[in-house]
Amino acid sequence: MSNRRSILVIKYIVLSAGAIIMLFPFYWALSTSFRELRDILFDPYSLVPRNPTFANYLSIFNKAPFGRYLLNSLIVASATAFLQITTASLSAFAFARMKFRGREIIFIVFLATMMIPQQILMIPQYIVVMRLGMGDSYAGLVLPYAATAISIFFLRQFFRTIPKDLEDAAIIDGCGPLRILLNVFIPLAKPAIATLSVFAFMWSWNNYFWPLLIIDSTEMRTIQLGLALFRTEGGIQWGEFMAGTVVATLPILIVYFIAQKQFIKGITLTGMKG
Amino acid sequence: MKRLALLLVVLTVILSSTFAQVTLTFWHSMGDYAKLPLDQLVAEFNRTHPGIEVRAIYQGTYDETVTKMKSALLVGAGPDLAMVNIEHIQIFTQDNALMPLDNLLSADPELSPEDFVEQFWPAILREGIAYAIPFNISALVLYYNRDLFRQAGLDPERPPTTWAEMEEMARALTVVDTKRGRTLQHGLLWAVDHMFYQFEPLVWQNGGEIFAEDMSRCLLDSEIGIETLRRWAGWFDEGLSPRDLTVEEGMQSFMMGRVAMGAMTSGGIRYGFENLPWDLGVAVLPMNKEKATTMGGGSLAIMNHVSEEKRDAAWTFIKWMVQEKNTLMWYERTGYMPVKKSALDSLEIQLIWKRFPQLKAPIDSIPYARPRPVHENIIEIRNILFNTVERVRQGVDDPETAFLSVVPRVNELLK
Amino acid sequence: MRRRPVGYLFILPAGLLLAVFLYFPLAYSFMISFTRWDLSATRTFIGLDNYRAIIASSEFWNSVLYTFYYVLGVLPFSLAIGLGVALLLRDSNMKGVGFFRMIYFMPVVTSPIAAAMGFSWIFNTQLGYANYVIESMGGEPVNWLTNYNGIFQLLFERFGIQLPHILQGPSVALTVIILLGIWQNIGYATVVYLAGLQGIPQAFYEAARIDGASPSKILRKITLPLLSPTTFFLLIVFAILSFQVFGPVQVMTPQGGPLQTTSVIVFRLYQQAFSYYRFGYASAMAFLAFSMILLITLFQMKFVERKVYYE
Repeated sequence: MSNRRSILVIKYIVLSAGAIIMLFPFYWALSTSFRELRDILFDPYSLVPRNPTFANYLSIFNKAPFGRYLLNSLIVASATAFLQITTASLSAFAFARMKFRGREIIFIVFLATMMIPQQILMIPQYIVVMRLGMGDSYAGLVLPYAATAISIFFLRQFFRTIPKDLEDAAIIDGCGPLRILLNVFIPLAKPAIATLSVFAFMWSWNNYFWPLLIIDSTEMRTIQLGLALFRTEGGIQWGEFMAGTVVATLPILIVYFIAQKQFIKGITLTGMKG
Repeated sequence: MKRLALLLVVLTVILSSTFAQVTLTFWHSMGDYAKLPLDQLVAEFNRTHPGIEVRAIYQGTYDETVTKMKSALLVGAGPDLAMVNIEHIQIFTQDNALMPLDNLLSADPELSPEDFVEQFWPAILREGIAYAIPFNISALVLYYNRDLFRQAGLDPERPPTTWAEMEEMARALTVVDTKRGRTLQHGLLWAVDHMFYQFEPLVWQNGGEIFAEDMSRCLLDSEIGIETLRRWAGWFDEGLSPRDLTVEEGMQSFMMGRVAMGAMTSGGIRYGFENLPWDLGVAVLPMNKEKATTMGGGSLAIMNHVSEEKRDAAWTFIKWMVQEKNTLMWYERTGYMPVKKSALDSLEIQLIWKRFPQLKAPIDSIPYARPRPVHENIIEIRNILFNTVERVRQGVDDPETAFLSVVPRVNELLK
Repeated sequence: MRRRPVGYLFILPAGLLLAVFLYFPLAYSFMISFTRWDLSATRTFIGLDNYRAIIASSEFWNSVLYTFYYVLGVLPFSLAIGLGVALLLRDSNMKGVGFFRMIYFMPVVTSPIAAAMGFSWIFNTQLGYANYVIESMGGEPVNWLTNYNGIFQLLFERFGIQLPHILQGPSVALTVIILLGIWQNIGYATVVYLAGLQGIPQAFYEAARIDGASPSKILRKITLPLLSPTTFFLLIVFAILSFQVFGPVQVMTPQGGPLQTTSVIVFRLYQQAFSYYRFGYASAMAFLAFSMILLITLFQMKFVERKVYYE
C-alpha cells in the first residue's frame, strides 16, 4: 500500500514539474496582459505585474470590434468542426470497415492532400473560392476545411480498433452500414470524436493566413486577424496583444473542458461493452 | 413624435437619393497606433463629403496587403484605392494595376507635383509617370536614449553628427562588466535586416553608390563599398554594437534602455515617445563624407479598373488626405512626414515641434533623403546582400572579399 | 468482408469537397510549377527549368537538411513524452486529473504566433529567462537565436573533433525552434494518446492482472500493441506536419536565422512565393517537398504499419 502511495507521490511530482514548463509561457502571457506597455518595457521579465491593470482588456474591445471577431470565429470554428466530423466519420468508416476497389489507393490519395505545403495552395484556393462567389463569407472560411485528410485518418485509426463482433452482431440484427456507423461506431468512438472536435475547432480558430486572404470587410474578420492589429512595423503593443491572446484562447479551453466530460463517458461505454 | 420621425425618414430618403452615394473601399496597412489617426481622418472626410463614403480597412502588414491585392486582382476583385508601400509600386505597375495619375494631376488646378516635398515625389514615379500620391513617408533617423547620454556624461542636446563622433560616443556609452567580461550596455545598434534597409545610407554617407544609376550593375565591390563594410563590421568587432543579438532582440534591448543609439524608421517615433520608459531623443543620421538617409513608407494609389465616378471620388479623397492640415495631423500622431511643401513652412509645424521636439529630426533629414533603388528582382538582391554583410558580421567572411564574390551574382539578377 | 460499393457513397462527401478545394488547387499549382509567374496576368511556360534550378541550388539542399533536423528532433521526443504524460493521466479517478489534462493541453490551444513570441522572449540572449536560469546556476549565457553552430559539432568540439557538415546537427537557433515544436506537440500527442488509451477495453487488463502479469509486462504486451494504431497515426501526422514547419520559424527568426540555419524548406518556399513573387519556382519547391513527404509516408505505411495491431 505504501509502495502504491509513493508511486502516486512521484507521479504528482513529475506531473507538476512538467506542468510548470507547459504553463510558463502561458503564465507569462497572462501576466503581461495585466501590465502597461511602459511597465513591460521597463522590466519585461518580472513575473508579477507591479501595478496590475485591466486597461489592456478594455482597450482591445475599444480599438476593434473584438466581440464581433469572437462571434465570427465561434460560428466558423463550430461549423468547421461539425462538418469535419460528419465527413470524416463517413469516410473513416468506409476506409476502416468497407471493402471496395482501390480503397487503399484512395486513402493515400486523400492523405496526399496533407503533404503539399499549404502556403502554395492558398492562391489557387483563393481563386476557387472567389469564383464560387464565397469571398468575404462564412462559407468561404468553412467549406475549404469541411473535409480534411487528417481527421479522416484520425477516425479511421480508431474505427479499426473497434471489435468486429459488435459489427457482426449488428449485421445479424439486419442493420445497414449507416445504421452500424451511427449506432455502434460513433458511440464507441466518442472519446476520439470528442478529441477530434476540439482539434477541428482549434485548427479553424487559430487559422490566420486563410482568413487574411479571403476576408475583406471589417465585420467578417476572425479573432486571429484582430490580434494582428497589435503587431505593427513600428512596434508591438505587448500588453494588448497578450490580452487579446488570452481572450482568444479561453473559448478553446472551454470547448476542451466540455469535451473532456465526453471522454469520461466514453470510457464507461467502452469498458462495459469490451 | 412619431410623425416627426417619419418626416425625418422621408427626408433622409429623399436627400440620400439626390446625393448618389459613392462607396470607396480603401485598403491600408496601418495597424494599432497609426490606425487610430487614419480612422479619424477617414471619418472626418466622410462627415464633410456627404456624397462619398470611404471604408478604410486594415489588411495586415505591407507585405500581406500586397499578397491580398495581387490575389484579388487575379479574379477582378480588390479595393478601389489602396495604401501602397513606395517599394511595392513597381510590383503593381508591372501588371497595369495602378491608375496613372498624370491626367488627373494636369486637369486639376488644385494639386500639382510642385506642391509636394521635392524629395518625395520621385519615390512614386515609375518611368516618369506618377502612380500614387505620397502620404506616409518615413526616413531612417537616429534614435537615442537621452537618459543614458546623461549618465555617460554626454550632452543629450548634442547627438553625434559624424561617424567618428558616433563611434566615440558609442564607446563612452558602452558599459562592460570587466569581471565577467560581459557587455551590460551597448553604445550603438546598427542592425541590418533582410531588407538591407539600414546598410544603404551608410554607403551613401561614405560617398558611394550601391547600384549604377541605370541599375545595370552593383557597385558595392568598389573601394568605398568595401570600406563601408569594414567600418560597419568594426562596430560589431569592437563590441559597440551587439553581435549576439538578432535584429528583433536588439530593438527590444534598445527599448529597454540596454542600447543607447540606433538607426530606425521615423514612422515609430510616436509609438516610442508614448511607450518608452525613458527620455527619447531623435536626430538626423550622422554623416561621413556626405549626409544621406533612406526613405520608406507608403503612398495612396487608385486602382486602374475603377469607374470614372469612383475615380473622381477617390481623387477627391486623396487630395483631401494630403491637405496641409491633415498631413500635419498625421505627422504629429505617427512620425510619418508631412508631404506638402507648404506644411513644412507652416506655423503649425513649429508648434508641433514645441510639443514633440523628437519629430523635428525627420524633417531635417529631408534634404538628404533618397528613395531606395528599385528593380524587378530587388527583394532577392537585398536578401543576398543582407546575407553577405551578415556573414561578415558573424566573422565567417572577410570584409575585404565578401562583396567581391557576391557582386557578380547580383549583376546576374540585374540583367 | 464482402465487397460493398456503397463504400464509395460514404467517401463521396469528403471526396467532393477535397476535389474542389484541394485537388483542383493542387493541379493548378502543379501546372504553375512549369511556368514563370509573378501573380500577374501573364505566365510563361518554361518546362522543367524551375525544377532544374532548385535541384542545382545548394540553398535548397541546405534547407532540406535543416528540415530533416527539425523533423528528427521533434518526432521522437513529442511521441515519447506525450505517451508518458498520457499514461500518467489515464486514470480519471486520480485527484486533479482534469486540471493536469487541461494544463498539458494548453500549449496546443495557444495561438502558434503568440507561443512563438513567448518563446523568443524566454530565449532572448540578453534578457531572457533561459539565460537567467543558466547564469544563476553559474553557467555561461548562450546566444540562442544568433548561434549558427550545430549542436553536435559544439559537443564534439570539446574533444577536438570536427564533424562533416551533414552531421553537425541543427544550429542552436534551430534547436530552440525544435524545443517550441516539442512543447506544442506534447499536448497534442497526450490528448490523442488519452483517447487511444480509453479505447482499450478494461477486460484485457483485468485478465492480465489475474494472470499475475507485472506492470511493465502489461505495458509491453497490452498497452503498447493496442495503442499502436494511435502511435502510427501520430508518427505519420507529426512527420507530415513537421516537414512543413513554417510559422514558428517566421516569427522567431524572420531573417532566416543566423547564417540562414533556420531556413527550412517551407520558409524558403514562402520567401520565393510571397517576397520574390516567383510562384512557379515556389510551386516547384512545393512539389519537390511533396514527393519527399510522400516517399517518407509510403515507407512508413509499408514498413511500419505492418507492426500496427488492428482489431
